[in-house]
Amino acid sequence: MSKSSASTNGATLWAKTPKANAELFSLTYGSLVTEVVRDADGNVNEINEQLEKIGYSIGIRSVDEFLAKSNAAHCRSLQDTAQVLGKTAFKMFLGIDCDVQILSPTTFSLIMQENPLYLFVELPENYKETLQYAILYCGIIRGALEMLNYKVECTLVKNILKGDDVDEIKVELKQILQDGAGDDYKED
Amino acid sequence: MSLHCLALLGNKNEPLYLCSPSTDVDVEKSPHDDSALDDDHDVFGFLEDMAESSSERKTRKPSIRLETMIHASLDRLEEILGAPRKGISYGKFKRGSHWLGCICPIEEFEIYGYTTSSDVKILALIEREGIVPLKKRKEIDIKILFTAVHDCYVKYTMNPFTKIRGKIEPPCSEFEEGILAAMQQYNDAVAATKMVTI
Repeated sequence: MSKSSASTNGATLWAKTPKANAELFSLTYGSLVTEVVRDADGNVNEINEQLEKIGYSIGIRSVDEFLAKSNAAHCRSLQDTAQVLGKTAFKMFLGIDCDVQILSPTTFSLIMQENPLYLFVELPENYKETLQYAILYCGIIRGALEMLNYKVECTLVKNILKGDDVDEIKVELKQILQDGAGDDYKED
Repeated sequence: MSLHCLALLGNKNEPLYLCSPSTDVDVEKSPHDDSALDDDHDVFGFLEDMAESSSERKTRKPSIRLETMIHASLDRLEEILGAPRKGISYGKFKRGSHWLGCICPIEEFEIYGYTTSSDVKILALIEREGIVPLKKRKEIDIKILFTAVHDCYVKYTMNPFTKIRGKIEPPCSEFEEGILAAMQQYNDAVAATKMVTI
């Protein structure tokens, strides 16, 4: 799957999807984060973990919608998956143009110039270095790829809220899972 | 007609934010020797927290003299708006516009007021030129300033990590940048009109 067809696919899908107000989106996520912060009582790792779990539940559900709506061709390698994820999926759901950087046969990076979640947000001093606001995306990617039998680990490498100029998510392939429907359905 | 001080007040007239423009506009001494008042001796204890992080603040703390003047005008503000009540007051819906006009003259300044629908008030301490009060043309600049400050405040409240109706404290760099830009724009506009009349 060539790069340009992934992005044109993404652009057409973005034009077709119903849109939501960006402020509403950002404010909703913001209040979700403040609730999690309040519940966690200062433990930043727990906050990040909670947000990632929320992203995971979003990811496992939205991957089906994505595959149904887009007619993305079969991905032959992780590189293709990276292109489809960055150019088509992110564009379709969020309207962001991502740059994809392949770091190794099992690792790639998604680079975002701007992030709709960050509208109006400024982190307070005690969370500035540690709270990973966009870790939601990491959870979404992990959940979506897990449904496709890729077990990945996603980390937020660069963060605009911390002062970097872009957001960077590093995705590392850990394992390709066996095609199974889970232990409940295994025949003895 | 230069701006010396800007104050944001909450719904019970409590101070949310106070600042002065960063140029040395208010170093002009009044006829009295109030050098004792001009030092950063914080009588009301409001700016104590701000003093610690004053290195991060982009705007200047106003001198105690200006702060006291703003405080003194609160009586007149209450007369105009009615005492701050606990429940919903319908008086504010009868008012019509946000602009309050000149609230009161104090020494060589005049205080202009602006109120929002959520009872957040913005006061501007403006130096008076001559005895004649400002004509409508010059008030436009103040109205523009107030609208810009109101905008900054709204954007500040949209940050999910801020305390609603609480004191405005860091992280507020976007807010402070906006305030600085608005004050700068006002001072430039005033300087421009001064050139024209002279």
